[in-house]
Amino acid sequence: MKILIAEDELIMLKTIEYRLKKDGHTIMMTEDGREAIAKIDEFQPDLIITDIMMPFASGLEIIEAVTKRAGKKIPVIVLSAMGQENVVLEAFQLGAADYITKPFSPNELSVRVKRYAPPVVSGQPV
Amino acid sequence: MAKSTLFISLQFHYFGILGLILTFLVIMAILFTCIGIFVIYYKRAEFHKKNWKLSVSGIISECVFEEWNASSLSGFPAHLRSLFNKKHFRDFLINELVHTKKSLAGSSTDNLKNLYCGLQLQKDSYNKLQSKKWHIKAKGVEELGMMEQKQYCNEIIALANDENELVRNEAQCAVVSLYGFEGLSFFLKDITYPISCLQQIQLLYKLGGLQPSDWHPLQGWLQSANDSVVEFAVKLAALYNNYEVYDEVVTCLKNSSLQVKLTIIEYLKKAPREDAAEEIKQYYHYESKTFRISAIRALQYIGDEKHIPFIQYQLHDVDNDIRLQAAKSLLYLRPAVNSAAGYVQSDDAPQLEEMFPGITKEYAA
Repeated sequence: MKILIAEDELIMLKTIEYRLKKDGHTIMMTEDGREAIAKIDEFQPDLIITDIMMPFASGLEIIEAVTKRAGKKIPVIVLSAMGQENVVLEAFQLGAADYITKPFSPNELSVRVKRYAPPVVSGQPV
Repeated sequence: MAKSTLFISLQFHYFGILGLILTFLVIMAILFTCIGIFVIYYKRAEFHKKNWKLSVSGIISECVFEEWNASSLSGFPAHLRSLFNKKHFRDFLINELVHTKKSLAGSSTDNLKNLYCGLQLQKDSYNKLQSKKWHIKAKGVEELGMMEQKQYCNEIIALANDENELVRNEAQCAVVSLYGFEGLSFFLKDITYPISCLQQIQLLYKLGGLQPSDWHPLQGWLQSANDSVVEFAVKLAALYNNYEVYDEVVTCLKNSSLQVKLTIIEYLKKAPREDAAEEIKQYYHYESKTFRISAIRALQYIGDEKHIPFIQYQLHDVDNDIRLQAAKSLLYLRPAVNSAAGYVQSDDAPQLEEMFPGITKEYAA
């Protein structure tokens, strides 16, 4: 599965990348929101994992951009330290598929990501 | 003579102004030079930090999932190994490890802790406790607490009653992080400084979800000479729905601190006891306006029909705020009802409507 990760903390970014690469996913990383939005069309990810607080464009703007986009619907998992109810609700209202608050377990993230893997038929992804 | 005197004084005047301008320019030059040196130093430090971050981020992210043989440093690139003797780099590394640990949960954090100990970074954190500067001390406490260094527990507990509030707060939070509910016993009985409202919220947040195995210390805390400890103990009892200490909590209504009394009212509002309302009423007439308003408000939740005459009596109080709260509580206990037949007023409604126009509709059921 192709996954786009948008996270401005380098160590978190690399930690998530390391874990998901071990699961065999193809990863594209970016440290700012504007670049993430630009990469959606270029990279055509199957899943996006994004933080909320990022430079230039927030995670909520990324969700909005994905929702308004024509074509394949891309699920977005929000991974953020902001666990306030209003932020979570807004993310879901904009169209987020899942919301994980920090501190989080990378192993738990890996399991959650697997839910969004495209179905496999005869050994090939659909 | 007069002309030469004037000329000399003009010259002095001229040189005086020139001197002032020169002095000003010299001072500005020194100031800008200092700013320039500071900016260069700052930029250089930021540049190093950025490079260090790029170098260590890969190591830390791998370490989260795999154990590193940190004690030998052999797993580290050569250019990083040489930096381990520099205090700035070690502090930077500690910051990154602590920050990463804060963002992660589960078994992945154990490897971070092992990396921290393997590199002997706990010694750097411990040395910060000896600093005379409060912010360095607090940083050291935070680091040792986050990295679960229980071997320094005694030193951290000693700082839970430090004269500096932020050092105290960090130490108290660290002890609770290390030992949970039992950690409160290590410092609550001894602290002489007040625990601020915000710190109490912090401690309750850190305790969230933990179940205490022993409630015995709570009774001691309720009798503390430190009013903020009493207040915190009542909040704990309310949070955990502990009504075994109901009698001890009610006794604390005699405490001189208004904040303690208001906290007790909140506890009594939740208490499944029929005499809770009576306990509040007992103290009503001796207390301040704030207590009375809070008490009348509490009666709307724990009072019943038999408290209505008492509340009605408060409608004659000289204070308008007390009268208003009494009106609200009365309408809560005996609301006017909007029914299909029309708006049915309670017996109190006309009087209350006269006192506070619009109130009956606002509080209609």
